[in-house]
Amino acid sequence: MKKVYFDSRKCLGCHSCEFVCAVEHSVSKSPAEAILEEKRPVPRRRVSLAEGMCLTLACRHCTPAACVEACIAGAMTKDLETGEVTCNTDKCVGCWMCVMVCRFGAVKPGQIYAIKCDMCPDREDSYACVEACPTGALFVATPEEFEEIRKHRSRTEQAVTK
Amino acid sequence: MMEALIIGNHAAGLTAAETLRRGDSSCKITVISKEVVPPYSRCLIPYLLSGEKQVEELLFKPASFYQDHSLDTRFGVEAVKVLADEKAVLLADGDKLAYDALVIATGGTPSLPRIPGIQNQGVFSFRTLEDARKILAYCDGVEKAVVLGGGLIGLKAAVALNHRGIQVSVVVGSPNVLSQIVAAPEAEVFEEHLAEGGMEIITRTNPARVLGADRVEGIETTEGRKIACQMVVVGKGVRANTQLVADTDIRTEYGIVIDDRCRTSVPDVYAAGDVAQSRDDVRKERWMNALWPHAVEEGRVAAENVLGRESTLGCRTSMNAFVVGDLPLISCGLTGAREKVEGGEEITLKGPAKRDCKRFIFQGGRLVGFALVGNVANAGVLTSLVTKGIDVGKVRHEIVAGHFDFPLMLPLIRDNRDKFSEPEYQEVLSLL
Repeated sequence: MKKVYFDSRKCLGCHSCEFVCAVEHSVSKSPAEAILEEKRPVPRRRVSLAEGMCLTLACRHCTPAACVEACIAGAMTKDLETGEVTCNTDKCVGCWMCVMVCRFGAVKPGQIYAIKCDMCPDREDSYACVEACPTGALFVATPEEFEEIRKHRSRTEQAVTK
Repeated sequence: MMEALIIGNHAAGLTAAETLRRGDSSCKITVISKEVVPPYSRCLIPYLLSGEKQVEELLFKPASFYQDHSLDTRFGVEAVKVLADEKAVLLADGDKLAYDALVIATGGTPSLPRIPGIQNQGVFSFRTLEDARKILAYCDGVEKAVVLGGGLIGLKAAVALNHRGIQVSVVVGSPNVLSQIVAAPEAEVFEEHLAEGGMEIITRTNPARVLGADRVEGIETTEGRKIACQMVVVGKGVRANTQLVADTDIRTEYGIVIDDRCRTSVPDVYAAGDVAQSRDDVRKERWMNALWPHAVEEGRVAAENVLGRESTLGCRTSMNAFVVGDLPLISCGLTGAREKVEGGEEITLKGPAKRDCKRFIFQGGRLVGFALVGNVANAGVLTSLVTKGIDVGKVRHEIVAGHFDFPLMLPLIRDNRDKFSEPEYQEVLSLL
């Protein structure tokens, strides 16, 4: 079960992840054409400033996922094997129950259906945002790998403070 | 081999069945329901009535759900009595089913006003697939319908009928529509929007009788005003279906009282969904919050406890999302609608778009409720602050300015790590 994680120390706030996310979810998948598409593509990820640092945030594919439990249409589902939470846009009725319960604000009300990170279904085994991140601030890991990285970082931070 | 009985075939019952099967591949699970229907979502019946969806598009689980999860079903028969001493359930056909664990998810029944003529042909409630089908079958030749009640059910019925080209008047006893959910200014935005859509909203008015000898010909209000119509749809609230536990030790108030693990007062009997009365973290008492997300969560938590896991319900209160056309509303907690918030401070915000409005209710340092109309993005961030009972002092000015996306909440999360205990928060925070 892999997830996209984020290390704020490496984030430049360049918005590349946001940009490629929108392009990835366009019809043409080309920036120059995507911008002129009838429905301008929407990024599923958002870069913002908080506490003097940059933060890029998208769906955390929670377990259990509040949006899945709130979905009245059976559109929002969690894949038990991959852990991915995705919205079946054909089934979504735009009732915004998911928007009401997403504690990260990572499900957006769209024109017709809910818009959120779908883990790039048109790609084989990569994610647009991770690939585009110039510094590796966004990275893919299993929860175990992430835990290792986290521990390593807190050790180095402790060392620095000493 | 454990035998589990689940009474109820909707959000709570089916979630319980699914969770049980995932956790135990060998136990016997029987789902009992009065209705003979595929696993459809009750919340979607307005789309059937409006003509936007067909029956097979109302399913929130595949039609093969019962086979896929090896569930036995007893559909078309009502569970009439829980025999807790015998650990069995009595069905209307006289059958007795034994259980090791019982999940009661019997939902509710719409209340009908006790007025003359309410039994006339052409008076409908609006809760089940059957209700929607009956209304649809009756629609031929109906030019005008009256909806009694201006809550979510009433308004959804009104919008759906209006969408079919039927003239609709909504008769509301309260001074405003949605009076249980939002305060007057937010409700008025919706009243205007519904009127623009061609619906008539008549507030502060109660029905005295349904006119017509046999079939509906109109309604008469308590002031004597007569409104001619060929159909009446009632959206006047729901009573919990607790009859089957009457005369048992299973404790009830407005519904079956459950604890944080969805247990009733009797061992091995759990309750979930609209029939259950569960914790409300804002009101600090047990409350009837008949909501889809709560029903699903309760179904899951009940099943997890049947499986021997000690899982508990998350932080919760009343909340609603409601959309009419392109106008959405999300509200949560105390919104200044039905109860005055003691020592509360209400802050309202208009714009930037014409119909946009926001209301925040603070009590002490906490955000105890909000209502957003028009722009509802990031509502869930506020929902988490309300349900967790966080002191929002540090970011209050941001909230009332309408800025409440997740990154702005970071200081609160750092200060309240015990309350933001979900692992996903730690994922985000640990590498900041």
